[in-house]
Amino acid sequence: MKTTGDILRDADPLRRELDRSGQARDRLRHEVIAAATSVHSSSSPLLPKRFSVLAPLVLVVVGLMVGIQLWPRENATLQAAVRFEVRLATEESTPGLEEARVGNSDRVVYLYDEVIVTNEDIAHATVVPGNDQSQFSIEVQLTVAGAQKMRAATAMYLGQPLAILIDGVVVTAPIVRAVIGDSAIITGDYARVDAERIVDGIVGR
Amino acid sequence: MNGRPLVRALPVTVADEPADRLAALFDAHYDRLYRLARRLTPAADDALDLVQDTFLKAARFPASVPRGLTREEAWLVRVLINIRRDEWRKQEVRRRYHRAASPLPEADGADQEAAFIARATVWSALDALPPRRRAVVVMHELEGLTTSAIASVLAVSAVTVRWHLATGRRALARVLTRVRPGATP
Repeated sequence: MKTTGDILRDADPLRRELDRSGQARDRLRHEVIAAATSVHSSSSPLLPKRFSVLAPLVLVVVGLMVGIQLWPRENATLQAAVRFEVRLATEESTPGLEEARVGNSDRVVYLYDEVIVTNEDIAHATVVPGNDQSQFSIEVQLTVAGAQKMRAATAMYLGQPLAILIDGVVVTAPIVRAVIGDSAIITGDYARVDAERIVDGIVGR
Repeated sequence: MNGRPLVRALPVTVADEPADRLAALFDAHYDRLYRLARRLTPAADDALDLVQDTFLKAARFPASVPRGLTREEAWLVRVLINIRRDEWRKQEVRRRYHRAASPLPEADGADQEAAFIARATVWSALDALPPRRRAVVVMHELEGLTTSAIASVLAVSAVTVRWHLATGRRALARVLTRVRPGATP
């Protein structure tokens, strides 16, 4: 008398379909890896909004809330019209470190004084579409040297916040979840005119 | 300021490229996932789609895939079953209608065609099981895993696995006795 297991084994399609799997496997492998590459090299909204899930070459900075007050304070000594800095930070109150509020939130981080990358490390910046038609984000491409500095810093700084400063104000401070590479997408609710203003002023001269 | 020259002190670390990780995941787990997927789906193409969707999930959320072969496999298996469960729910209404309109064929196993129909009928009987229960039955009956091993992979208790197994076998037996009158659960 056959058991359920006997009958299932007899009906198991794998007993008759083994030969066709090789070619299908190769095709699938190619498609999956191609998809992974495209996911991680684009600024697709499919990307989770944390460093933890980003490709090493993409930095996404989420939830940037920059008021118009951030950039009228231009400093004549700066080479770029809009000062851009990425600095290591900590969420623990640390004596001697500069305290900074993150954007318009109540969150506070404490900034180390070393600057990882600055305007000089930006190769170019562009305005890219944001979360809806009226919002725009900024994609920042770092130079080779800038990318190297960013990779080195973030490799040793996993789990800690990285502060993005525009004109000295911390606009966002996401937690580093993976090694960051050579580009950053500052995602937020910029109006187009404001995004273009930052893009025009952010590249070091 | 007590800030230290962190950047200058930091070594350059080679990034773990997502495509490389995914390739490694694929090479290590494709065969196992395909076997499971094929036994959870009506046709080979469905199984390939299911495996592809599973790896695409890993591609989109690489940080959520744990490290280590066993943990990777368990994560992928759970994702695969969850994807299948979503598909199964969408198809359930249509399937109920289909089952009501088309009674299972009776097969006496006397000739090759009847045997083929019998096998197909057995396999389609599995479609009536919710994917997680089907996965438990498949892993136990066809892959030979113990209930505790299945519990570990699915991150549920052994009691839950035994319950799925007993319920799944009863449901299958109701169908199988129509196909193979000699079948026992």
